Amino acid sequence: MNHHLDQPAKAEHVSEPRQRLKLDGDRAVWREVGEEVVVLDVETATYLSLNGSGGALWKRLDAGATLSELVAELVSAYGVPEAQASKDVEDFLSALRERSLLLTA
Amino acid sequence: MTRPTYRKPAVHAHRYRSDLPKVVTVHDNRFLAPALLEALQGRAEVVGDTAYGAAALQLAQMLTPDVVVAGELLGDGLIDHFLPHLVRAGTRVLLVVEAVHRERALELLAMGLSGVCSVDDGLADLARAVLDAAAGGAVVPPSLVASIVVEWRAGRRQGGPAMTREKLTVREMEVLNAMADGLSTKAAARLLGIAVKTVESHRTRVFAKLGVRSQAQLVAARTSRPAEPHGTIGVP
Amino acid sequence: MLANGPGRPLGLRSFASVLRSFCLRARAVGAVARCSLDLTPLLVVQERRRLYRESMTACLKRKLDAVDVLEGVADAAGLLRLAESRHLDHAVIEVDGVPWDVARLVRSLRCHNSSVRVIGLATSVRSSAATEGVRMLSRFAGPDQVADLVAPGHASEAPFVLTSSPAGASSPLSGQQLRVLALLSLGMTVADVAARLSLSERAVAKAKVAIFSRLGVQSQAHAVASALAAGWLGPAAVVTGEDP
Repeated sequence: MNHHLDQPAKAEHVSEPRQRLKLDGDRAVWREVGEEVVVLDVETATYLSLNGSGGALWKRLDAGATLSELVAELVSAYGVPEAQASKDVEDFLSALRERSLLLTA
Repeated sequence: MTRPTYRKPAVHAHRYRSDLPKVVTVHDNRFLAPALLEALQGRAEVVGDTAYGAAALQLAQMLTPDVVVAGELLGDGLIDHFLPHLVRAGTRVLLVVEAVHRERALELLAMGLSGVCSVDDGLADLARAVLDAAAGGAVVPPSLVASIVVEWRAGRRQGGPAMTREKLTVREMEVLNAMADGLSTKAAARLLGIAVKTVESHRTRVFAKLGVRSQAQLVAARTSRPAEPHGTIGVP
Repeated sequence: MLANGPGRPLGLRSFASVLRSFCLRARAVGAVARCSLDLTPLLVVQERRRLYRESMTACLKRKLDAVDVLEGVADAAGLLRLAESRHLDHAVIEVDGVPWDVARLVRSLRCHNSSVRVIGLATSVRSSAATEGVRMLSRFAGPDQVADLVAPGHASEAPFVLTSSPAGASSPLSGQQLRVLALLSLGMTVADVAARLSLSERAVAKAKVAIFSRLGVQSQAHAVASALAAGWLGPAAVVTGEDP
């Protein structure tokens, strides 16, 4: 029923660990629904759902977070090794960037 | 504290990727949407729900559902007010009614309503009707069509000035007969060798014409104008 | 006290099965034959319209794990028949526009079980069943509201629907702004909104500007869409007019 977004081409952009990232609140409105975070991209009228880990990252980004903080979030919440967490966070941020949902504060 | 299972952060886009029909409910009974959601599990998605017509229009625009299931009396007015906009937005609208009032049904069908369900039907019946509507079927109860046709024919025999103005074309008669026989829009389309969308537009026109006639009939009855005899009107 | 083995009392379950088998052997006739000591509370919905009756029953079955939700009944007669044979703990009933005396129905229910808890779903503003200890809910009440009255503290799991009551997630709009937006979204003019909320038109116009700027939108449609999507607009916001 739901398909994963195709993995974007390897991101050219590598986030600065200490650069504060934030969501584009104008463009996306969201709420938590059960285990997921559901996002409505107002501009494209698409709705997206984020799984557990994605939702956790999203909520951090809503308040503004650095790359390090996001990685730390995955490590502490799921016990994922840092190297894997770093990669996964980067991929996730690319997906958001691709949808123009990410801002650098 | 046990940690939750880790799954890589993922973004699922819903609008373009779902292959199931999307349904929006606009109804003042707040149990209908969750019940329908469960009843349609795996066959269609209820993607939005509201008790307000204005909100339903927004939802229809944002989520482009295939079917809207609507109640008659919404939080912000009658469905009549919102129906033309919903139809224009391209969604099929199924109305849940307490009692099938012929005149009213006719008006709404003329506005482009796709079908009618009764509160005396079961949840499973409604679910089936939703799936039919999504697949291009019509759910106007044949008995309703039949009674509309009977009334229309009776009206024609009595005559009246407005009767001469509207004629049904051959195609429109065919569509009307198909509906009176209980054929779905899809079946009618197959029978007549035309597209479903074409059947639907014929249908809307038919009901609009019948509506004009029966409304005129009402007016004539109220002002008690003497019936004027006419020759054959429209297609016999 | 029945004992099983050297001085050990029977557990409740085995006592029940003994009693059950006793009843079966006794072949008791009439409605009192069922002497199950199953303590799961029973709930039944009374609703004349089949579609809603089935919907409510299905929803409540799903929501209330610790309660046995029976097949719904259509009318007062059906409800009373059921009350005679089963020990009803909860009844969700219609209270408006029914061709029977609701107060009398409630009293009869209480004869069978003095502690039955009755929830009334009202469709009109003035409802006479507000007496008799019936817990009243409005026509906009949904499964969450009913479940909350039956089993308080019940977690509400919303599927992706865009209009439950204002989300816990922080809304950038104040309570008043939300109410203004809700009424504007219903197509009310600034004047109507002002009258409805007992504000000056100027205050409503100001709120409108503030709403747009806080949501970062330029049009009312966009504001409504954003608020809808975020779950800030919903029946509760408009009907109760309370702060989220």
